[in-house]
Amino acid sequence: MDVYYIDYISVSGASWLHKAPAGLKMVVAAVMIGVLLWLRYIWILSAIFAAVVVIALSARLPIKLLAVLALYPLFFLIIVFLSTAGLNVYSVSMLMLRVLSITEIVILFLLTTSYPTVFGVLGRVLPGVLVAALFFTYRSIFVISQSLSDISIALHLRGGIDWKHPGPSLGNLGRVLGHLLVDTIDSSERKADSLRIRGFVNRVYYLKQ
Amino acid sequence: MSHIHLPDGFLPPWLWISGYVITALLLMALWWRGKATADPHRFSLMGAMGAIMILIAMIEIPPFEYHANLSVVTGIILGPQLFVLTAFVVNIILALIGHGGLTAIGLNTLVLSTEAVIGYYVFRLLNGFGLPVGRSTFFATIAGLATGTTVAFGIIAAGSPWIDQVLGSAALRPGMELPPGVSGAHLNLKRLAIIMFAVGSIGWVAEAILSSAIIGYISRLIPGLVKSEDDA
Repeated sequence: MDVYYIDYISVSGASWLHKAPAGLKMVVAAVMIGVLLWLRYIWILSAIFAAVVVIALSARLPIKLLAVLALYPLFFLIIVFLSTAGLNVYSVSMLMLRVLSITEIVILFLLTTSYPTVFGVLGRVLPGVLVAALFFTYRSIFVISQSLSDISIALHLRGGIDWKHPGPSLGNLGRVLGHLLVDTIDSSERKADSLRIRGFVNRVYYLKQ
Repeated sequence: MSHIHLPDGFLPPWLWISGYVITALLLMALWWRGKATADPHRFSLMGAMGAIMILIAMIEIPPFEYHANLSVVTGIILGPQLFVLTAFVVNIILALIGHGGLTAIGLNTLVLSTEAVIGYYVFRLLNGFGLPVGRSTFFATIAGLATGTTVAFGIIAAGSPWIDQVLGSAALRPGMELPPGVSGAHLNLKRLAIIMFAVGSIGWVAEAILSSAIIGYISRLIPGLVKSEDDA
C-alpha cells in the first residue's frame, strides 16, 4: 500500500529535508516544476533529474519506492505515446525525462513532509472545510486499508476471482466490496459521533510544531 | 473510469486554469447554498467514500492502466452536491502520488462529477420507473462512464493544438526547425478515441457489474442509504 508507506517515511524520517519548513519546500518544488516545464535542453533535464536523485539519497529516502511511484505517470504516458504519430527516440526520452523529474520532485516533497503538515500549510490558503475534507479522506484510507486486506479472505471463501468467468467473479468482488462499504459506513458513523461530542464545526485545527 | 491521466505540461494553461476556476465556482456555489452541510455524519461518510475511491483507483489493470473508481456508486450514496467536494479531494490525493498531473486536478474533478451526477440521476429515474436497484445501477454506471469519457475526450481534443506543440517541440533539439511540408509529432485523436471508447467500454461493463453488485448489497443491508438527496 503506497500511501501507507509514504506516510510512514514522511513521519518517521529525521533527515535535513524532513526538518526543512513545509512552506519553503512547497515553493521550491513549484518553482522547479515550472522550470522543468519550460526547459528544452535534454542535458539540463538529465542534470536536474540526477540532482533530485542525489537529494533523495542524501535524505536517506528509499530509492526503490521513488522508482515505483515514478512508474505510475510513465505508464500513463504510454497511452499518450500510443495515441501519438511521428514520435522519435529523442522526443520520447525528452518527455519521459520531464515527466519523471516532475514526479520525483512531487514524491520527494511528500516523502519528507507528512500529510497533516501539508494540509496544515494548505489550510492557510484553502477554505477550512476543504482541508477538513482532505484530512478526513486521508485518515479514512488507513482505516479502510486494514479492512481491505481482511476482505481478500472473504473473497476467497466466496469463490475468489476466476477471470474465465468474469461476470460471477465481478459479482463476488462487488458483494465483498459492498461488505467493505457497509463496514466503512459503520466506522464512519462512530467517528462522526466522536466528532459531534468534540464539537466539530466545519474545520480541523492544527497545532504548530 | 474516465480520468484524464495526462502528466503535467501537456495541457494548455487556459484549459487547466479554467478547470480549477470552474471547480472553485462549483464548490463555492454548492457550499453557498448550504445544502452540502458539514454535518459530522455526512462529512465522515464523505471521507470514507473518498478513501474507497482512492484505494480502488490504485488497482490498475494493464496494459491500458484501466482502473475502476466507483464514482457512480459514490454519487448514488453521497448525492451530487457532496460528490463534487469528494471528487476534488480524491483527485488532489491521487495527483500527489503521481496518478494524473497536478494541473489536471480541476478538470478531473469536473469529469468525475459529470460521471457521478449523470449516474445519480439515471439511477433515480430508472429506479423510479420500478427497475430493480441492481439493474438501475448497471445502466446508471454505463451512462455515467460514457458521458464522463466523452467529456474527458472533449477536454483533450480542445487542448490538442497545445499538446501537438508540446509533442512537436520535444522532438526538436533547441534551435532546430522542421523542414517545410514535414509535420512533427502530433496527437492522433482517432487513435485516442479508439483507446478511450472501444477499450474503455469493456471497462465500463466490468465497472457496471461491480457497481450493481455493491449497491445491490448495500441496499439490502442499509436500505435508507440509497435514496434521493432530498430525503437525506
